[in-house]
Amino acid sequence: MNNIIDNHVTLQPSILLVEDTPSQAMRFSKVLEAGGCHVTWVDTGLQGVKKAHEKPFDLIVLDIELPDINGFEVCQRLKADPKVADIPVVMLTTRDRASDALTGLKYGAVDYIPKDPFAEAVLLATIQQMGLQKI
Amino acid sequence: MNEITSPKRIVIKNDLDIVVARLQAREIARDLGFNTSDQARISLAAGEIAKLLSSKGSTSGEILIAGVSNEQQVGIQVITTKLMNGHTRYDYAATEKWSEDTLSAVLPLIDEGFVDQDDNRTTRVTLRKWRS
Repeated sequence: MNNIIDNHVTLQPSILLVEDTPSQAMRFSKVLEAGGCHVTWVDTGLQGVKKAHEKPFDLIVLDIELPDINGFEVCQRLKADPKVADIPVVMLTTRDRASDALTGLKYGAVDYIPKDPFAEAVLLATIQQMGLQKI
Repeated sequence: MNEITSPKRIVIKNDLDIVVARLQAREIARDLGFNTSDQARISLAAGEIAKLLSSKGSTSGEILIAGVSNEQQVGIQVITTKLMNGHTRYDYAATEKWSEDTLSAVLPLIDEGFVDQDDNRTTRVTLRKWRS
């Protein structure tokens, strides 16, 4: 299944959300859109890599557990490609061990956010701190 | 001898304070010249210990985030103490092993971590990460 929701508007920060669980995708899309972002959602790693080349995204929010290639590999592929390497990647995942965070950061993610009850607030605040938008 | 600069104190009482701790750690790390990856590490570590403070039955806790420097290096320091309701802080830390749990959860993200007591016998957890 390849679901794609595309609400891209060039005047506002554009975020690519790579998340395979629809309920989680809705959870984070909702909060990002409420914060003024436009969200493009894809539900596989390969779709994420492909979509990243199609538009100038300001940020990629990336899950790790994906049905085809995992988030670490997605991040590795993106960072290895000069066309999209500059797009910051934030990993958003249920894997909350420090070792997983270190792996994500090693592959080039700028931040690593555990999917816990604070994830929405942390994600929004992180995006704000990155200077992408006024939330 | 380590010198401490510009300490920021965050009292952890609710979810928002956890977010504040995380953001404050990143901001201080950035101001100190840490690279993006190390900013994320210390930010994540501060957020994780803030979560542990708020989730283990205490009424509150506090985190002190500051720059730290000595003759050889510059870094960031996060000191955590847990404030208990109805217990001495020392007793709780000794029986619940809160401090050890806290340290082990974040140790891979930092360069130094240790547990000690201040002058009031309050158990505290100190994390340090040095700028590379």
